[in-house]
Amino acid sequence: MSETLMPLAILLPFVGSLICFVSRHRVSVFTGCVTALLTAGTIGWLTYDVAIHGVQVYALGGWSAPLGIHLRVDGLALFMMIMSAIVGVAVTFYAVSYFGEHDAQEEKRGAELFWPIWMFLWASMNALYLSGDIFNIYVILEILGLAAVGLVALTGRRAVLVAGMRYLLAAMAGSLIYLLGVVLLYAAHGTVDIVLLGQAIEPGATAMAAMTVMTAGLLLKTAMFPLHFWLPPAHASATAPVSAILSALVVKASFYLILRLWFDVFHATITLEAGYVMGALGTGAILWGSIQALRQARVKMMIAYSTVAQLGYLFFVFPVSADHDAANAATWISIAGQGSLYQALAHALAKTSIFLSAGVLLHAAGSDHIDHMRGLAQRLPVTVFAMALAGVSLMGLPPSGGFVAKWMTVQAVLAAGQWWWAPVIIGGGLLAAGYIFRILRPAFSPADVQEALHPVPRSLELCALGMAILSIVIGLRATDLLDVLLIGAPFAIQAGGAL
Amino acid sequence: MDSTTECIKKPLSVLSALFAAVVCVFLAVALREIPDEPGGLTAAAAAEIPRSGVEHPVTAVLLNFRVYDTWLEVGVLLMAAMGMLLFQRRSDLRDIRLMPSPEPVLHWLVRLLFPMLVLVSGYLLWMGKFAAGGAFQAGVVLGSGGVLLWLAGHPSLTNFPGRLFRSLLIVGFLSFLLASIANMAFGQAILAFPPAYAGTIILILEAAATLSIAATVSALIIGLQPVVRDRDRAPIHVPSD
Repeated sequence: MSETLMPLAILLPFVGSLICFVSRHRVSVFTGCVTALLTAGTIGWLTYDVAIHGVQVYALGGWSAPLGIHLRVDGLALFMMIMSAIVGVAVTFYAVSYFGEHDAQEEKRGAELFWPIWMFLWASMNALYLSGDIFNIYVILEILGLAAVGLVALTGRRAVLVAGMRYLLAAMAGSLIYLLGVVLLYAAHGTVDIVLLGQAIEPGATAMAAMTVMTAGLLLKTAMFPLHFWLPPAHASATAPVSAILSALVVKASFYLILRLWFDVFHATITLEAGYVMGALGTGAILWGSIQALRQARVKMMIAYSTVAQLGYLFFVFPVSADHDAANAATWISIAGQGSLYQALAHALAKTSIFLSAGVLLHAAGSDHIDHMRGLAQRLPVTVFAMALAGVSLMGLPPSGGFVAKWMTVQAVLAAGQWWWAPVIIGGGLLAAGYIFRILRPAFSPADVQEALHPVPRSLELCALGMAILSIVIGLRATDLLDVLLIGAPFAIQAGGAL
Repeated sequence: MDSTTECIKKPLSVLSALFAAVVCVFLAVALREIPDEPGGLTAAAAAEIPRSGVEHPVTAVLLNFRVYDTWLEVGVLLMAAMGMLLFQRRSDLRDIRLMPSPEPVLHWLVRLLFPMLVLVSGYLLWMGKFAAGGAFQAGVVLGSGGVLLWLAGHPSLTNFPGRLFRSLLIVGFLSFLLASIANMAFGQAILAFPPAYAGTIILILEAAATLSIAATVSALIIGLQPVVRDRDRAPIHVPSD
């Protein structure tokens, strides 16, 4: 049974999606919840299995690579799938009440299609993390892009459609640029299997070109500064559950792919300069994203720019790991890798919580303008508390998950002798505090006029609070999750020094 | 989009031209390193064709060795169809009918062409086994038949009730899914076709995919037309065939 867990994690949400697509709305909602729990359960079981037996490979159709396609699970893939499962279950249950509340016919049409598209998106994310084949990943990126754009367009207002179209064009461009790299690699090495490519690759112009175009395409899809232009309007104008999915999970999928390619395929090609470029982009993202977040008048727009900033922290693993010839490099590469992935997880949980809270706010006050937040701490205490907790993690204060992630990243850059990234990482936390307090301060100050609030279902607030609490708790139980991450991961020290 | 076009100003276009030139040179240098002789997996694929259930190497790769990719491609189309429904705020294509043309020659032509398109589509599907062809080609031809009917004012997809229309969109993706579940039930790797039955299984999967691809292609064209609801127009007589 255990060998079917990998395909099961992909098939289950696909089955759920098809049932949702042909069923009436109530059946869809039920199917969505059951599918979410089953998928999360499968991933939990797979985690247990991988923790005991280690890395697993599954030959689809019984054809082994290079002719066929392999599924492959290691700690890194598993970590991403666990992250998707936690956020996925929370968003699913949030969406039940969120879309259940809307009565307008137009909104309902969109809500009906939320379920099949969200399940399809989840399946394709699991497929992406499990895939061991760069062409197969291209096909998955297409599904992922189309599904994400579909979700953005859920509400169908004009501004949303424009944002969705811009997102679609950016996503398509990113995939096509990625495909160019796939073609170069196949022409040069006659295989598209990640493991085989990693063995065959030689430093040279072809590998360099493939690495550059694939990274560029994926940076565009990750919304990495300065290619982030499509993210804020798309993430801010989508409905709350969708914004959470996009900000917490979808942008991380293409980040994961960059990490996978740099460590498992292009390890021989990477130069220190290439690593520094990535570090500089990370720095730019943190500064520019935070400054823009400080200037926004709407909560959702602010959170969207905060995503641009928080993605920057993920990228310090690249300059640190590019310096792979030095003594002890394996140690700090491992710490940098863990810090980066932990930041991905901490950000996913905190950002899900804040976007879900912003959804509560929009629902209750009818606006997410920062001025309308006055006095909300008294009237929506649970939601404001959730926002504050998640904010603690985004700022990187102890004992949150964000603190552990940033602490490890600072340790790694100092160990690698690249001290100049450290002030950026610490300064970024201060900037984050700046924009988080911009929403908390009015929330805790007394309101001038008490406008009537639309009643909010308790389950919406609890989903947001649950994610916020988790974003803190993972700071206390970091070693358990990091142990999973290190199973067969490219930056596990046992592997003999990663790059 | 207006804002996008306004952004492209002269200095920027010179810069992007320069950038494109640099990228081209970079790629040209990279291409020089690639070996001239056609390598890749051509030989490996040829060696396994006897076990694939089909005779044409392209079909063997698309529908057996890398059928997972093809399955997900069918999924891409399904996502495109769902995206269109979402953008257009619809759950089916009913009431996007065109006014039937009074032109008798057109009706005569459609009656001649539509059965031919169905035949050609079936032939392309069958041909995939031993020549270049298969579900995607067959589906596009069949889909063009659906668009043709619609353009001539005949009811085509626009007459299908919602549930049936949606089932038609998913039947291709679903058949691969069911095949995988059957594989699991028999304890095989998913999407593994026993060589003895591979030809038949592939034909069934392709036939299902053809239906979905045809439905998706015509739905994308018909569904994106500006919405003119039946009730907004004077009632018209639809000639019965």
